[in-house]
Amino acid sequence: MENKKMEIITVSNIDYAILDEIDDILYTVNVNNGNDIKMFKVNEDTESIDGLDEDEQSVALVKFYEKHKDLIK
Amino acid sequence: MKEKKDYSGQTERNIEEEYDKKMKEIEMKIAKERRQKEKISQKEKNKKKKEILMRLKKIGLVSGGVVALGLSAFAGWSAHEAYEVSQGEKIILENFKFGGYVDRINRTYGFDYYIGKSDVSYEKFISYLKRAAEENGYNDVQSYIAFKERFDGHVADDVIERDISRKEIHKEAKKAYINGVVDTKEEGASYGK
Repeated sequence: MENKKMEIITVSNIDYAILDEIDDILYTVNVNNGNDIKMFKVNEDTESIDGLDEDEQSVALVKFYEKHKDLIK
Repeated sequence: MKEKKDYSGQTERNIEEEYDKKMKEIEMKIAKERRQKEKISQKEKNKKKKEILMRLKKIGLVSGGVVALGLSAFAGWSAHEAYEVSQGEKIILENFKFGGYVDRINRTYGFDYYIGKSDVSYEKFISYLKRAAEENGYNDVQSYIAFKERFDGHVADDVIERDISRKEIHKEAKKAYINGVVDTKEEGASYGK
């Protein structure tokens, strides 16, 4: 498969490619490991990128499903 | 000639109704203004977040295989999560006891509301649902889910009278899905066991 030019963020020295953005949540994949997927949000107080807690993850995943359900089904 | 006095209490009831109506109007106005303020502050926050993200992002080349794998992993995970939440919402609705026939019928001019065989006003319908929620021992979020599922978000909003976040809904729905029961307020009374 061809390489793709993508937006990347670095968290804890790991590069994550941004697959999607929904309501300030970043849906990412580790550029070196396609099985390592993570969701992040921007923390405007610390001006950094944080992970999501369990409840936030649940909401974010359902949003991802709702956006892409036609493709997922 | 003596003036005929009204001892039925109707005048007092009318005054009370008028007072309640005015209070509701004021409360709705305050809530609307608060929502507008929140919207503006949310817009400013979002703008700041976008600016921060722009600074932190960089462009790089990523293997197409990694992208495809990541997307399919998200698809699977999100579908599973959506399933759990929807099943939890179903459990919450199914275990709510409405205590008889309670429904609304969509007419050409709008909805008619029924409790038992009686055609009732929207206000009576809402206050019946408030009481039913209390009797079921459901908390605000569980009640919101049950009424949103059975009727719609507007009815649920009018019964609960506070904003319920998606985070709260998902948390409660997942809890119901995982436990298979609705964790009600009454001690030891969990519906659905």
